[in-house]
Amino acid sequence: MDLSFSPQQEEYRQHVREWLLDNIPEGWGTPEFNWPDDEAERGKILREWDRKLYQGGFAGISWPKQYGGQGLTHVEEIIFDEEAGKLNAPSGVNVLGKLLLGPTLLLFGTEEQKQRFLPPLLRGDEVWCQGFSEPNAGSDLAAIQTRAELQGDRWMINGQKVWTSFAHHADWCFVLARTDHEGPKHKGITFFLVPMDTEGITVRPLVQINGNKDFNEVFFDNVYIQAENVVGGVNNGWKVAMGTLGFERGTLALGRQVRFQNEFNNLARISSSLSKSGETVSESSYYRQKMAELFAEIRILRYHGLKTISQLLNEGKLGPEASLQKLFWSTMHVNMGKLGLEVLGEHAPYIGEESIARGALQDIDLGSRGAIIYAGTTQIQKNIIAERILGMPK
Amino acid sequence: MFFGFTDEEKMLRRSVREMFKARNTSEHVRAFMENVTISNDMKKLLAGQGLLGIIDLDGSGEDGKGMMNAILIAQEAGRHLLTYPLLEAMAGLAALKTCTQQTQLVSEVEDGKKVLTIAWVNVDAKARKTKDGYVLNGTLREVPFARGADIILANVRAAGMGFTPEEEETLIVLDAKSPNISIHNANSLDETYPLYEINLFNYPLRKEAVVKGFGMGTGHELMTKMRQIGALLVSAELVGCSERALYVTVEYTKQRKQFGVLIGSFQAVKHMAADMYLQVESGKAAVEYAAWALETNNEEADLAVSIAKSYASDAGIQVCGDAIQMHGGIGFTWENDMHLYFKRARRSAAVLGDVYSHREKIAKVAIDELACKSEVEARRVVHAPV
Repeated sequence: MDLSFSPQQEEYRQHVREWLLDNIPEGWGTPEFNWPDDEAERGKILREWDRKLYQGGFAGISWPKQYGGQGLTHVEEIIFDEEAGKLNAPSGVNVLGKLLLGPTLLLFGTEEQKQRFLPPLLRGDEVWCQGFSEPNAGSDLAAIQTRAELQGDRWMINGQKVWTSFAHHADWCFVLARTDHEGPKHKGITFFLVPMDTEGITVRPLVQINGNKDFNEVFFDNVYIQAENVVGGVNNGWKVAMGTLGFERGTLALGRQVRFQNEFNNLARISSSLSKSGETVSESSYYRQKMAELFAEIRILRYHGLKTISQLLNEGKLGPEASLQKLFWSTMHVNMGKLGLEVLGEHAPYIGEESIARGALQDIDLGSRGAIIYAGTTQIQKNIIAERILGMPK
Repeated sequence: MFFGFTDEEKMLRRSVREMFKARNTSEHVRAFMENVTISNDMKKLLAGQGLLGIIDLDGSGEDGKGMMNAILIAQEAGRHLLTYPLLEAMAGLAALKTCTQQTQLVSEVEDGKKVLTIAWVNVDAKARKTKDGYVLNGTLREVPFARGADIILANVRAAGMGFTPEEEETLIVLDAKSPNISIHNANSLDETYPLYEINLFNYPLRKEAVVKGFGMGTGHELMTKMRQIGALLVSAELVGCSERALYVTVEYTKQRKQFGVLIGSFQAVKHMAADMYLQVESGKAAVEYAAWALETNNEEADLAVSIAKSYASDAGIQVCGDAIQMHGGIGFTWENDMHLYFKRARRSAAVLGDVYSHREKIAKVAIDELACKSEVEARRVVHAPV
């Protein structure tokens, strides 16, 4: 067991911190920072941040240099995530490209695909969205109905995707589509790379329960794409997609943990400014117990994250244990949301500028409801743990 | 960056597991419950394997302080419901080894010639000076295996040996067989790890029985250290105990049929098992991290131990309780072992600081210190837009 960082890594941390303090947009994260009402303007600001990160040398930290990455390790990656988390730095608009598509191409892509797609992705020139879920294929992802047919030397795609984050800002979409209708449903799926400006694509925005406008529906109506825009071979898309979801479930715990810690600190400070039945909330043993329990879980998330990173560094891959981590943090975050509003008590409904929490605790309460659904619902994660780790019968 | 165990540590775990599997079976445990005597076989075995004095707080041992080894051994003890005060031996020897004048006692315990236990709670036992020297009177509680033990470590106040009650605290070695001691079974529900209460009647306290000097806070310091190690090790026991209950139960769901199918194929059962796994693994991570924090004198070691103890306690009770539920009716019978795990978890959760007291310790750091200290960055993080 050795959880220390080397002097070089500590130096890197210092470098990251200084860069972030110099570059995070003015007023970011304070109540005075207001987003433009126009969604396109918001996209621009976020893309600007992605470009800045690239120029600063913080895009693709652990990706090979020849594709525009920094050629460092996962340790530098988590150091960056932790420092960015401490300052609540923006996460940009290309999270799906960086988190999911990049690692997928590095694992399954051809040399041409890596050279063509990875550098512009990191530069912030090409933003990606993920075309997996469909109205009738959520948890049962293999039930997708979007179809692709070979027409001469091009694929023609028809169908509909839903809950597609950032599609309205994206230049490209990685799409799962059915290419074989005969065999088992897992064996007839292909992983495509689709330019979003292709004729026949329609993006319709969906507003989430917390008012965020990240979601979209994406319609594909006779969309033609080049034959070479397939990753991992025709009818092999399920295997590629499962690798992708592994990244989605496994990484990022440490950066996330730091952000949860910030949220906890805010909750604790708010609790010290409120009183109930003549007692300051942060001094009431009932609330102290509940907050301490939550704090312990946030720390344990960090331990899980360190374990995962260690596994990645020493064994080079993640197993189904990634499901454990996702189940742990998303459940914990729901509990944080509940506790936050319990602390607020009679102030819980108010989210305006003048309110006590300015909507921050309510954001956790609402946002966490999404986290137990996306990237594999709580129930799917429990099935995975029971069947693949504990070996219980299907 | 390496969060895990070395090959040597894994080897130790394997050999301890094999040893307990053969020598501390369910039959052994139930025999102990009928006739509460620590077997000579077990005394020889633990001493022979060199497991008792595994913690070395000076760090002069080859493998640092041995905290990582100690939690692995404690996990196995919990897994097999070990009927021996192993935790007390490990924590007690760790403290004794820091005192140069105790080498004789240390080797007697390490060699298995004497069984050591600890009186974790002092109700009102005090040392009072008389014309014939110091004598002890009063009551000590939470003393595991007192009746089978040869010596009992206890922390008592020596009147007049300090300016505060804390300073008066003095760690002493009691002879469990002395006629001035009476030992009562405190009837703990966990019969695999019996707890006793001790009354001292004019027990003559000789100078040699004082571990590291009268008063001056030395007793307080040593006892605090033992309690910290004890809380870590009992958390490790809880993890081992609940992990075993989980896996025995999962195996059962792969054999038991109802409605014509294996009950393990029902999602309601699977989701319970997944929740249990989550709690076992999270408790394990907390224990491993806390052991590392103690090993490296991390400034948050106390916090890490409180996190481990509070989490592993709740998790242990929940997991072992669910294990009974998943066994159905058979799980509620005396002949099934599940109640032994559940009771062991209950007792472990109660000793060395219950969940409430460890959470209050966490709150002092998390709410009173950390959250308010980071005020400088507070404004920035009040409202994160994405």
